[in-house]
Amino acid sequence: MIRKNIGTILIFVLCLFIGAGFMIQQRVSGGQMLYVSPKAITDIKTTIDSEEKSLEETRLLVEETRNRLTEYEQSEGQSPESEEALRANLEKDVLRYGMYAGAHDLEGPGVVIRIDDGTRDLFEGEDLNNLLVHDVDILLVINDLKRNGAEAISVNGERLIDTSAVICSGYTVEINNTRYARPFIIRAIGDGARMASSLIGPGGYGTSLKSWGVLFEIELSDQVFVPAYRQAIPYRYMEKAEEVEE
Amino acid sequence: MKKSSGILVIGLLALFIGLILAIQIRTNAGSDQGGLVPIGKLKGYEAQLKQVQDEKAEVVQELLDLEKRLADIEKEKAQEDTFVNGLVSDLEKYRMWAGVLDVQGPGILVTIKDPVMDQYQEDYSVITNNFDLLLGLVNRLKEAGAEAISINEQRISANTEISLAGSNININGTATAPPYIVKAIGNPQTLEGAITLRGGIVYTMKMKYNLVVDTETKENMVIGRYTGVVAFRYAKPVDAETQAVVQP
Repeated sequence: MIRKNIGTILIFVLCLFIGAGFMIQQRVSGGQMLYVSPKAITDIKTTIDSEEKSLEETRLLVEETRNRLTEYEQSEGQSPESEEALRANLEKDVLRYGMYAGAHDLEGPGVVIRIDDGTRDLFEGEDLNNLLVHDVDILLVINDLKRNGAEAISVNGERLIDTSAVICSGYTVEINNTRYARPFIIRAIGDGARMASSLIGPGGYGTSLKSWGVLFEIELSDQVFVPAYRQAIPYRYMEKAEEVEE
Repeated sequence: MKKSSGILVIGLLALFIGLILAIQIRTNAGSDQGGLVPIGKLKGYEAQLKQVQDEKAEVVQELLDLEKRLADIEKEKAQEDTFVNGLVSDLEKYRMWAGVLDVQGPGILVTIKDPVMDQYQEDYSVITNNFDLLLGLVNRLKEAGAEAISINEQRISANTEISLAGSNININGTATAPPYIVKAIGNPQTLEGAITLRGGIVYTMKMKYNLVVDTETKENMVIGRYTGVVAFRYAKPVDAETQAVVQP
């Protein structure tokens, strides 16, 4: 009789422990996810790396600007050397901002991407749209390139500037007010390995496009040419904001 | 007979507990190679990222201050030297094209708020998880002739990305959160018409995603400059005539 009771008590205590164990487990996690996918970790690591690099670059720029300031202030712009330095620095800045504005042809390492409509046969009842390239596809690919540090991008030879839209209009895509049909060739200057691995890695947009049946090819290149923006930039509505005196 | 069945039950139980323990240990130990990573690890990286970003914001602010002082000196110089004057006005033109200048003009202001959620979903942001809607909105505004656009004071420059990073949308590498306020300078009527047409982007936001979207035309508003760093590590300018790469 007693022996039997001991067995029951033992099982009861054991059950108590297991139950408590489950409760503790749940409490610790607070009902949230305890685990995340490894991609989230690689993503954040890449972001940290690129942020650190850009922090380093910003520090260099601060250093350079500070040197220039002291140079100007010490000589008070009287000596011919400082005049020369000021001009040279200004020319450097004009080039740098001109490059960013899309006013110069650029060349450098990067990627060349080709996107085209899929050619495979449709499944029974499948929507043809699955195989066609849409403007949102181009937009998302471009956005991903920018996220991974692209310095200059062109689509079918049209340099993308801050006001460039990519618009689907019927059978063609319109970029910088010019129409283009497929295939779409996107060239981007920057860290090619980083851009490519993001697009064709697991969960990358290139991988998704391929799985839908759209043709997506990416190729690293040491010499990618991105032309300047060749149209006029007339501003009809905006003007430089007046400086507010502090 | 009865006694042995009791032992059998305990035996089975012990087996299960052992199995559970083993699985638990395996998943913890093998987290690096395996499918899942403990969230604590991600939290650590997030803190590190935030620290780097804060530091960068500070350094960028310093750079902006220095650049302003420099610009003042250059402007002063430009008044006495025509060659320098030409350079300074070129610089200003390019800075305007590049979006690195505060600008003002008429345009529209679009406010996007998350739908009102019931209490179980309050941590979930619809607009954040559908950041391609913002991308689409910006694209439509550009098509309608917007000359300058910003989202939550982040100026859209040629290299601006809009991307999901963790639970935020990053724009120009800076984390942003709802509500999203999109400013665009251009013809107010054209801009508003282009996005509010039936079946257009605002319609989709409202009908499909239940977002709260307001558009408002403005006679004058200011859009701030792009505050990121303008520097090139990979791209080199090419001489337009000789086609040779220029070493700056």
